[in-house]
Amino acid sequence: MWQWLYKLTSPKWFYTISGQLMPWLVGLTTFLLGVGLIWGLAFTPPDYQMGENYRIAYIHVPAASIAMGCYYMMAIMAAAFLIWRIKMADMVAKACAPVGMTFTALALFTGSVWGIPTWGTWWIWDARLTSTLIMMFLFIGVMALRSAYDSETAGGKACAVLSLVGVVNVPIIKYSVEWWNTLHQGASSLSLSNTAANPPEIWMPAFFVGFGLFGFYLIAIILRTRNEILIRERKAEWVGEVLSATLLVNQGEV
Amino acid sequence: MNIVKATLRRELLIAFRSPGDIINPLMFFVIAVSLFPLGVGADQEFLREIAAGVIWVTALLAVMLSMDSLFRSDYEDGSLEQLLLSPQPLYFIILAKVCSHWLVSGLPLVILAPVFASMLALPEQGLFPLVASLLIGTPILTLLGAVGMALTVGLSRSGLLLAVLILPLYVPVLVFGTGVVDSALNSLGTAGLLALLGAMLILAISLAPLAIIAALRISVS
Amino acid sequence: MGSFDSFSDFLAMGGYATYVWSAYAFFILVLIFNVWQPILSRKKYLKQQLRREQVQQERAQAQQKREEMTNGSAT
Repeated sequence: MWQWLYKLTSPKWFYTISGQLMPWLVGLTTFLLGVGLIWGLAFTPPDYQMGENYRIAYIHVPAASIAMGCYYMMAIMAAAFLIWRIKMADMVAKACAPVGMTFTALALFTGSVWGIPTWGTWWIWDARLTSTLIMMFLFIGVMALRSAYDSETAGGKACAVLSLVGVVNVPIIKYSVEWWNTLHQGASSLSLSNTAANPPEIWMPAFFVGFGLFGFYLIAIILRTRNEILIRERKAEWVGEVLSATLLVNQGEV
Repeated sequence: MNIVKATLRRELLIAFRSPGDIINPLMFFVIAVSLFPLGVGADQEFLREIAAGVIWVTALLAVMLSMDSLFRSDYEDGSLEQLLLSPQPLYFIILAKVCSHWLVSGLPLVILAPVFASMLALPEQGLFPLVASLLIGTPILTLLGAVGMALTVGLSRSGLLLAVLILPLYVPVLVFGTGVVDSALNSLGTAGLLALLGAMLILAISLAPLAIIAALRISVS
Repeated sequence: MGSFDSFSDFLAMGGYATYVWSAYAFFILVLIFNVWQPILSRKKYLKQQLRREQVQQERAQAQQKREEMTNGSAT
């Protein structure tokens, strides 16, 4: 277990293993997303209250929860980088910010599009939309801080501190926004979690899309991390070998 | 604990020697609050509705804008580096620095707030809760702002970056701070919310200095 | 197909076509962005690395030629 964890912190090991894993991950993700989306879009019966519009929930709900998970993952990587100085962790953390931001943007967009026919307006200060918006600001803050630093290590450390401060705040922000929302108004929320009320053919596709989107999230993180490894470790011997191998293959088309 | 006293004294002395650092955030607060009725109209009913929110949001921005003077000069003349290398308990020194900064930038806002709140037609029963919430809330803002400032003090253009970093973190303080006043106006209890703000303050006091120290070490190196 | 009577029914989404399809279009956009951006930057990086290598090779060749010339003139 520990040895395995230790290996994971080596960029070379990560690069090789992720390269071998990638085709499987892509296949599995395509399968899950394909089945889930076709099932959810075309085969599940319409919701008795929201009609066909509820089909947006199949992407909205997993996008929102993965974005949230992405922030926590970034914070865990930040802690690993600050405590054990694992360079690999900083590379993954760097990859988390843009991916998490696009996922929050997706959750926001789908949520407000769903809101147009439901609430009669594209934006409402609903607890979930509001806390997702703030989550996006947190991701943007981390990205802005990293780009403001010239030094890669200093920027990484600064982002790590900011992510850790943010992660203490995320539950407080969520709680405060929910409290604020109940004080001012209650809005109907977009949710598939009420499994008791919904029959299995409604929430089964959600499982497929949810795991599929999670797989996609892993792919997106791995792609960015692999680039980062090639750039930061370019002086290492094995990277030179990888580079010259890919360059030979690509020489024709480049 | 002598070092804490010494730091407090030193910081307060420095602050009173350059009164602009104390007066400017206060002036910003005063002017920004007075702009609101000009923007939204002088309707007493409407002003009463937004008074607590306006006071809180402007106080929050004023605290954020005042942060620049916290570490900037120490960073530029190298005394920050000295401080980080010193064998003294850093946690308490940083806490003393932040505390003295709050005394000159946050406390005046809290004292002035009821005057401007009643100018914005906030009913009398909301005044005390407003002051109480600001009294507990602004130190949290100063502590969080200090973390942001420590992260950006080494960068050349950090003004707007600071806002992007820490304004999202201010959300809970704003929500519960204005919530205290709202509850008071609706004749609901405020003790629970004030206790919640107090809990957040304790959390901030215990954790923020650690983050500030870590951030300063990054900025200085 | 499925819960719809016809393909045009499926496209109409019970009157919610604009909302459902624009949400899914944005979803596809996010998927494409998250794959293409890293692939693009990887290609850019490889190209840059290739150019650097070529420059190095040319320099080495030029150096070799110069050495040969000086050696030739010496003998």
